Amino acid sequence: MNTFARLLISECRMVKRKSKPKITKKYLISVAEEARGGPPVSLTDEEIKEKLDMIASYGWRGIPFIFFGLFVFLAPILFLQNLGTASFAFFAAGVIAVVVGISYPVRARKISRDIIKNTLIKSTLAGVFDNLEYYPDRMISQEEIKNTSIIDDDWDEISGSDYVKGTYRGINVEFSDVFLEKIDEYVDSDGHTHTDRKKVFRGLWMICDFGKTLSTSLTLRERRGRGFIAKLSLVNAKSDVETENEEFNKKFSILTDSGHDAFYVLTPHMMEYILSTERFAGGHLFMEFVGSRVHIAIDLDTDFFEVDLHTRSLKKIAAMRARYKREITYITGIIDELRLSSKLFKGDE
Amino acid sequence: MGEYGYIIVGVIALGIIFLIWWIGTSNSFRRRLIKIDEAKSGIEVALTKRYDMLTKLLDTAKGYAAHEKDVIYETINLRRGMTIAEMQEASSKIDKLAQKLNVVAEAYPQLRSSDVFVNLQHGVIDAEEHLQAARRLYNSSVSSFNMAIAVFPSNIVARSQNLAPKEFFEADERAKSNVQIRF
Repeated sequence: MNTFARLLISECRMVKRKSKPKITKKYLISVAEEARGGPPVSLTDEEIKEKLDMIASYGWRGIPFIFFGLFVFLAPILFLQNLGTASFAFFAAGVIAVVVGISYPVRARKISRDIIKNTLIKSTLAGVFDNLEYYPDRMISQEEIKNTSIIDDDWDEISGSDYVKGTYRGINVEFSDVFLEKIDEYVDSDGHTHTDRKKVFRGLWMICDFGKTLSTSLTLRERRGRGFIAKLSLVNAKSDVETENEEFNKKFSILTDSGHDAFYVLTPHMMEYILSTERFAGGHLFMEFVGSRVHIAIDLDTDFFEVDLHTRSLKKIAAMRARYKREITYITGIIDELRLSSKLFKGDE
Repeated sequence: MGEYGYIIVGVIALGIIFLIWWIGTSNSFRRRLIKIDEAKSGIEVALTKRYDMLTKLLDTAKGYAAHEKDVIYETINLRRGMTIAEMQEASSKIDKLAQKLNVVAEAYPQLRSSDVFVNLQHGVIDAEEHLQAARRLYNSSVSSFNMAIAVFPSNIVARSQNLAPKEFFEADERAKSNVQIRF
């Protein structure tokens, strides 16, 4: 058992004995470091609340510093004293005290976030994925995303979070939130430079094993618009192949350099699975089969595993737990709908 | 420009548009025919691959059931430039070979558990999937071509070039349900 787990257990025991641990900065830093890289720790809602309350009380310690800083900062003005060069020292001391004061709640907030990620999210993920790796501040390899042609529109900036890597029903899976933006800079009539940011993609990006190996890539883009509009090449790219499944042809643009590879992947069963995945996903679905892996990107305009620290009530913690479970069920639901774990596609039957 | 001048310009413009359309339609037929030929070659390759895998599987089975080899062995003549009917016949023979191998493997549990046999089985299943893909790609190309030469007004160009509908590659439904080697 590692330090973080020991700390949490001993702490919960102390809480039960109604003795509070001494919350020092050193202690909190060690908790935060362990929370980021340690194994998942499963705690009850009450235990999580106890921890969050303790960390919040640490955050409140900054308030006196802030008031003191403001007082020192404003002292020369309040008392209308011309202190000459000493005024500068008062201002500087005030600013330092305020910064120190603010650092307490900021640090407390960050540690609370790390603890929720490690206890609520990581432990829930560990119940579903084997060989789990979870990094809240990382994302799927940018190079891998750049190397696909999933997203048609140009984008300039990429960011993401909550990177998860693991094995689900024997399938190697990795996923994270991904946010792609197009940045336009223009100069107005007064010569001022303005920056316009436009969302290109925001949602879940997942890479999974796929039992078949392709020599070229096969991209599927869910068509935008309906009927006649969806057929316009200005709105959606023209498919390179037409399958026997009319519904599938209407729903997706199929882009590939090899018609053979497209039919090799898009078996009648697979097309039905992809259609049912599209209905299940509820967002705009993109897929790319490349090598022996499949990229699945769903534009949902939302982030997964967000932490809400506005209140620390038991009800709120239970709601967050339920939300994370729902999100994980959604992600595994995508893999289940595609039957990626079935013998048909694993190639190890 | 006089009244006749406008008419002449209009007729010339219409003639140019008609010519461009004619050339475009004609080229699209050529492109479709090339795709059909490519898809047909794909079937030949997939058939050959499947036959090779089954032959290897048969060689492996020989070690366990030597006396069965002659019963199930069948020479299938695969060559480049086969007609669709010839390919269908070859495919049907390969299906029968796969079925016979199924029966032999059922009778020899040691053969079924052999690593080489299991690996070859995966190869055969993959070859079958490639054959299905090649067949579907061919039929999709044929369907697109047959549709294009049948509908108005492109059927005028097709008729002037004596283009006839192409034959689909129909899999033997009875055999198709039994071809996959699964134990």
